[in-house]
Amino acid sequence: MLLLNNLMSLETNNQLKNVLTLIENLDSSTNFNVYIPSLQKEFKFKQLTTEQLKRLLKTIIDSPIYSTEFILTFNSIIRENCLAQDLDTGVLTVLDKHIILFKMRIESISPEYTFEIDDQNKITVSLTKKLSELLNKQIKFDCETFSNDDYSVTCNLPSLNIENKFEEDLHQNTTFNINSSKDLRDIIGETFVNEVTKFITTLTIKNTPIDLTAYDFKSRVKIIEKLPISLINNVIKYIEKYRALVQLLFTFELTMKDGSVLQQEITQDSSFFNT
Amino acid sequence: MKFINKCTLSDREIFYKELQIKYIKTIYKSLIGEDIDPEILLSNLNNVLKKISTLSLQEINSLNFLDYFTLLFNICITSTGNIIFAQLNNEDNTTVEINIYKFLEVINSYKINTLLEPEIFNNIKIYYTLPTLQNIVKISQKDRNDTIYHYFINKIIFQDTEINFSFFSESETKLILEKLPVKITTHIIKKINTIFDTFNKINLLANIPYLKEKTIPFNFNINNLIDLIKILFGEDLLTLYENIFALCKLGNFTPEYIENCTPGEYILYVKKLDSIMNKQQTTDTNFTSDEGFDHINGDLL
Repeated sequence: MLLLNNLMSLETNNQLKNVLTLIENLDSSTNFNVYIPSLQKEFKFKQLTTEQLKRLLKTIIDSPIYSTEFILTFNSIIRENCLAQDLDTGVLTVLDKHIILFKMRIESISPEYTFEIDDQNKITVSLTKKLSELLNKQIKFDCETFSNDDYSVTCNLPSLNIENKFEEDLHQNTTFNINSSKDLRDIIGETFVNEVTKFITTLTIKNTPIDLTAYDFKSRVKIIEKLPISLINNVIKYIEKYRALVQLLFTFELTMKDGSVLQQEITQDSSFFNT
Repeated sequence: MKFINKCTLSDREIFYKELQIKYIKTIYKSLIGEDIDPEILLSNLNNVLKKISTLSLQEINSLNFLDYFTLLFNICITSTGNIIFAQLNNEDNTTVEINIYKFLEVINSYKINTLLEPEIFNNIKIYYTLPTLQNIVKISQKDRNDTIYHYFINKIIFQDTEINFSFFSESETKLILEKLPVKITTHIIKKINTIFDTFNKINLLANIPYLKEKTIPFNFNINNLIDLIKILFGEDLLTLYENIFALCKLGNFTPEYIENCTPGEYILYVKKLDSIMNKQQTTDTNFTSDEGFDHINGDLL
């Protein structure tokens, strides 16, 4: 703890560094706990700073298909704001990340979120209540292994390290040139295979295990593309189970003024943090 | 020896002397033209203020705009009296009489000191200030999306540490404030919006019943503040030169003497000479003047 006990005036330019350090440690009143499902434990985090919010908001200019810049920026903010010195945030899973994202929004911006459906329907929901509902379910997401003839694959939720590597290898600096429906189909197909690859950590062929994490993502994609579709279907079900859990957190049932009910999902990008 | 007076600013009392014609000339020169360069105007005006007040140039530069105008109002009252004559817009050439004390009355009614009182938010004590005129120039040049809140923060105290931003450069202040949690910055921005809204409501003519249709804003727009400086001091450089010429030619004053006069003395001499010349004109019907004297009247400043 670098805060000083005696009254002191930091009045010279060369003390800028000290001031910045002091503010970075201005934590006691603004820290918050986040329950991390993969570690079944709570960890302390700092609130977003203005500079971090600016970085997040800048990612609004992101890839139209992937949210690469937002993902990389938020993952780095998790690392910067985690106060547990013995925790390597790179090992946290993408599910943990969604919980941190949600809690960071609650603590740093507001515990409420307003859906602006139209002029008549501006509905405010409680993010705190939603998060409590999910965490009360004692969520735990284990790895699963699927086998088929000579193959077997182990699926796991990607860690932040893996997600960063994936985004850097496959999506960052990617430009799109969609001129026809074929181009669009190709990109969707590519995105689908990429996603599947992210969740497969080990592949066993005829009892010979291959640690896919040792390969770069371009090579991993080439390997996964060769696997039988029946095996991939199991991986897809695993991914869908994870997605359903995330959807539970981000989807709200809104009752409109005319009594109808509308399901709305909060987009997990920088707009979530737009005050 | 010029008359010395006292002016109470938000945090101190200072002393100042009356203006002199040579300084009025400098101010008028800075106000020439349609597109006035605020930086040149302020640079010249600040040099004048340095010469007639106990403030150093650095202290003048760091005066918040309310203190700055409080000083200008006081100098104007001491030098030329509390009544000024001004043309409030270009379409209507009528000159109106304005009491500067009414400006101060309007500003005081907004209780700016209460508005700027420090607040404690999330255990951080935030001290607000108003921007300097130089910073208002920057605010006026910025886009809507640019950050400007650092111009309104004086210092923050958290736990036992005080960070006084007057000792940091603009970029350092921005850097420090950006490290604060978003909730605190959001709170500060809301407060600054309230300050903006309050100043946008100010009409310096609000307490003058016969001018209530007209407006003199007093907000963070540099062009409005330049217009206010014009209203306070006038801007007719040509008439000033003509009068100095006439006083020297017909009144036997030296240019140095006139330039060192206070505006009050100058007006008196002009009126006196005008009256003498009028008397002569009525006794000598053949008298004609082609030396600029026709332009002289008593309400030049």
